[in-house]
Amino acid sequence: MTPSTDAPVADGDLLRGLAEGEPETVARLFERFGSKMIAFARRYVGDEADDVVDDLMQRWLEKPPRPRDPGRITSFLAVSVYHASIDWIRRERAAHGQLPRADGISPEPQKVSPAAPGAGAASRKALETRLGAALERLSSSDRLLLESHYGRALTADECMALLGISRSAFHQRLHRARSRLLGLLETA
Amino acid sequence: MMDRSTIEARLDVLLRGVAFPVRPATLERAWHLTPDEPSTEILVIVTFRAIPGQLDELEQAAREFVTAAGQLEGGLFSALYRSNQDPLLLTLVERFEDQAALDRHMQAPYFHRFQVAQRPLLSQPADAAVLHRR
Repeated sequence: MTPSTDAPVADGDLLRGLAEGEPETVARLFERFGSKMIAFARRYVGDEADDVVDDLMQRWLEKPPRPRDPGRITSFLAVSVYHASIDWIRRERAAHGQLPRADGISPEPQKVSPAAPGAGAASRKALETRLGAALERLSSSDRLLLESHYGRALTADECMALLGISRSAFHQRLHRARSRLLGLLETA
Repeated sequence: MMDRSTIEARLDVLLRGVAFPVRPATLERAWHLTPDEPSTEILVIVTFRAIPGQLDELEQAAREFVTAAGQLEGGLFSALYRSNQDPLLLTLVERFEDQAALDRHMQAPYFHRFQVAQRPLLSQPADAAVLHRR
């Protein structure tokens, strides 16, 4: 890739360059998407967004990522920044000795159960498999409600707007989605 | 029939400690709903091609430059990378808070020292690009 100030790089080329570990590509990606990445991280980590994105870019410079779909740059960036943010929250919670919470963001595994890390990791993995299978059986809108509530993916207002429902309908439908998920998890 | 609080409590207990899976499509929706943040940040990418046999000396000079640049007020990041594909190529990536920080960087004594040091070590002039974060 030849550095130039006026040559836009196609999304696919950016992702390919990123996977090949080209520092120019990381810089160009940051030029085009850095502000959006920081704004997106801010949804989850607030004032720490700059640091979370800086760390992510640094990681990509040191160890190139492997994007699954070279045609979907926004999907790749959204997933990467989300996971970097969630990992940051987990590390912070673990560092401050906080207990796991049911918001999909637990402290890092080794800090949760130091006495029996193998057993803890195995049961957590089994539950995550059951959870994945249960979610597959729910409707897309139920999943969206749960992803917003437990995964913090969207705010309640965004979720309501996407589904075209009122606040009271949102709470009713979230309750029904939780009830269905619980039923699937307890009978699995 | 369980009441609302019982369902929520039982589900919360079950989900405690697991990572809740979120579909990429949902995150992409959230991405598109996120407003842009204005930025003044500037990125600089410089590529250096060494004369064969001069790479180590060039790298040493560049690393001293990077260390000095790391002390600059308004300098956010400065790092040097060797190319995976080309054994004579070095890439410098730098980020600055704003144009004023980049101007201070370019007027600093270490900047001038590196300009002088690199000249006899390069097979072609350094190639620089200045990018503005959007």
